[in-house]
Amino acid sequence: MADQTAAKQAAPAGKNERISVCGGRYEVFLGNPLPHFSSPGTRAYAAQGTRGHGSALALIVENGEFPRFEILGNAVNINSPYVCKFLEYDVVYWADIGQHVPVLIYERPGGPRLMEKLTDDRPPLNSEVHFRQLLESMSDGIRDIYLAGTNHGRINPTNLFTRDASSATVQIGDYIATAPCKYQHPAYCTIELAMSHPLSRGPASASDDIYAIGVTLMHMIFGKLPMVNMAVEDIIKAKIEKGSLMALSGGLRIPSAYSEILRGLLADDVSQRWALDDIAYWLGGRRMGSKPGAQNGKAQRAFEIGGASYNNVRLLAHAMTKHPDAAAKSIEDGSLDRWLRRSLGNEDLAGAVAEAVASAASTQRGGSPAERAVTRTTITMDPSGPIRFRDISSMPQGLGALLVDTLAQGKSPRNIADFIAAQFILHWGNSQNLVGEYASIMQTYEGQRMLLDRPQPGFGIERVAYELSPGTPCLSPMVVSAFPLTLKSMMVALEAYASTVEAGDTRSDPIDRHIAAFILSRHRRMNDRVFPMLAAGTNAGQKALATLTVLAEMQRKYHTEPLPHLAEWVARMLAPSMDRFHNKILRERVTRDINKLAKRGDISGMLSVMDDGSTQKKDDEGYNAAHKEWLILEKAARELTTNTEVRDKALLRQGRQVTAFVAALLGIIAVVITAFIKMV
Amino acid sequence: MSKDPNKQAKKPSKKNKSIVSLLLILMIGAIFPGITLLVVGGMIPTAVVWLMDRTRGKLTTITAGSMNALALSFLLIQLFDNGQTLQAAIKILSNPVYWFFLLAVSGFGWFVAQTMPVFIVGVITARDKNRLNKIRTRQQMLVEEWGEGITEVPNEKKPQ
Repeated sequence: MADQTAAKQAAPAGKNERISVCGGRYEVFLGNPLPHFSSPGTRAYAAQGTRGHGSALALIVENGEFPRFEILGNAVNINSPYVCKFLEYDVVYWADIGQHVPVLIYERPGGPRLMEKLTDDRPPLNSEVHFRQLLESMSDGIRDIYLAGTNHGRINPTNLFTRDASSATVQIGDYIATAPCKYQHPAYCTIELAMSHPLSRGPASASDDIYAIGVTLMHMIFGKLPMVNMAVEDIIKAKIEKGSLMALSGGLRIPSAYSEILRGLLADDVSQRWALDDIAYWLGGRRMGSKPGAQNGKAQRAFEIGGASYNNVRLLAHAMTKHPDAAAKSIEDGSLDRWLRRSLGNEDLAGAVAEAVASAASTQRGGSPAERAVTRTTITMDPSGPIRFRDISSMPQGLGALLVDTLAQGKSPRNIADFIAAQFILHWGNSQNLVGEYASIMQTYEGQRMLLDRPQPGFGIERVAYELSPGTPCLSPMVVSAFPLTLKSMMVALEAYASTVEAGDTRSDPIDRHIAAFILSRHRRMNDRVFPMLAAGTNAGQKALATLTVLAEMQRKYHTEPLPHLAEWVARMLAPSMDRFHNKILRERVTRDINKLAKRGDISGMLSVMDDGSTQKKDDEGYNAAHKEWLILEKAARELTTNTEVRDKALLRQGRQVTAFVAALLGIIAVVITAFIKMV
Repeated sequence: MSKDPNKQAKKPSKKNKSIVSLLLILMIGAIFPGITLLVVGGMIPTAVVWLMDRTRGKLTTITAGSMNALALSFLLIQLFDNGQTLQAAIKILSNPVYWFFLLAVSGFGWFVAQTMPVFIVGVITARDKNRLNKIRTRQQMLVEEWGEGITEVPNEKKPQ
């Protein structure tokens, strides 16, 4: 895979301008855009392999889109004639967009799209041979994608390319460039996905792709699909009330030859929907038969909410999320419970709803008790649907993409944080028929909830975003324009940003919340104990040392090249940290060494100097000795300066005593000499 | 351990001591009348100082008395040279030069007793001041080298 850290500079597009990407293995022709191969969120350009890969297609990902980097490893292994071959990716500076963007290199599809727009009409597909070719190519393509360990999420006629004019065999187009299912038309989505926010539909399942194949086939059979012109809410309502098959057909008669397969592919009950093997059996001539989908019970009396009446429990749940106040009232006053028991006649569901309401009250966090009760009630009433809370309508696995988009746009992630804190996903998992299947995702979100509880840098909502969406670039404002996907590229981008930071610039510290979270999510062995010291309001010296520790580890582990600008930025921050050295001479020496290393861009070396245990020990010992000496001197000084009057009196007396002693001595000597003289 | 009250009672009183001293002087005076007269007469300046001395331990008296004794020793030599008689002692005591000598030396003793302690105090104070300066200089050097942190006095307010 291409090393995306070596970000290239694309010159303004001239007619023959080309840029080299993926380590020189491909060239993108800036003057040769291919709009007929562009898809939502991307721009297509002609590209060419420099080592004989032939004509290729470069998809330039638009600003604000986050490709599914986590599946690139799977995608590159797909070698299917029915799937556009993904070759490599890179991150390059795109002058038109004004920042670094991902570039995905595909083999160029053999033919045009099946349809340019879903709203266009096209001649109906009358040939059964073509129908079979279309179905077979799509199902084989999906199978190959599935076998590589992922799914598609955007199968529709605008993302299918004809291979040759003589047959209806198609190649499935891009599914990497944007968040999964983001640009899938609601008509092509299952009811559950259609009810979800486009960003939070999550990665499609194989069953979702099979459903989309069914819709595509129906679209081709009729040459049009009336539903593509309908509003999302109308699509959802029609699919729930009539069933997808009837709703999608829009009253048109489905040819009997295709009714069985379409019924199987478009079954709204996932357990009844055909699998890829069923399609293969059907293509092999075996007639499968389709069981009628389990119908949601229809109530005898409609339940009124938000000025509309609902007989269908799933539609009612959907409506309740649109009118949370009225829904909360109906839960509180018992009218919903009565309706479920009397009109719907579903005592089990009523009991489950009562339990959900009780569990909402027991949870202390994540919105008001009424909000929690409404969301948990709607999960219980429509367990296969998305989780709906405030303005969020998300499948559990889609929350990451929504969160990343929210953070990237600078919007408040409060609702998503509350969503996770309220443990809705735990309730959602427990509401499914096969709870065990969802144990992993429930566990994941419990882990995220714990991360959310820690407000320090490296944790919180930013960390949750990077954990839930492992392919997300670092979204720090300092580096986001470089689209850094790895810690190495993040360090390169940070170094570039550091070159713009002057002394006294207080816009930001080198490690903000995004960078801290990105580091901890990408470097699992990183010691996270220093991260709380990166918080605003921490002692400046401690913060600088924590910053140095983290960046030194990054340089040591991911970027061994010098980072002079970043090092000098950190060196400036370290001024208050010099207080850890007591000795002035040592401090001056360390400062000198730090500045020298900073100029060389050696952050690891700077840490070695700052964190030298023996130097620190010697300094501490010296300090303690100096402290002891100062105290002894102070005691002596105090003795000399206190009680001077008393001391003077004592001294005077001592003086007198000495004088008297000396005088007495002289007197005695004189007497002795006198006696001696006389005796002699 | 408390002292034996009987033993304490047997100690000679100050009055008794004086009587014993007087008797001793009278006895010595009877044996050596010249010397005794000269010593008693020659030590009169000391007696005067003793009466004026208010210092504890009569340190001024000791100083002046020692000087007085020093001067007296020269007179005693004179007395010994003239036969240690009472007449010789009276003759010496009658000589104003000798009295001047005695008073001058005793006065010098008194002067030394008054000025020398003050001088000594002055010298010691100057020495302490010098020492204090050296301490403060060293402390300042330590603070400059190791920072204000070393001036933290444990469990005590920092000295002003």
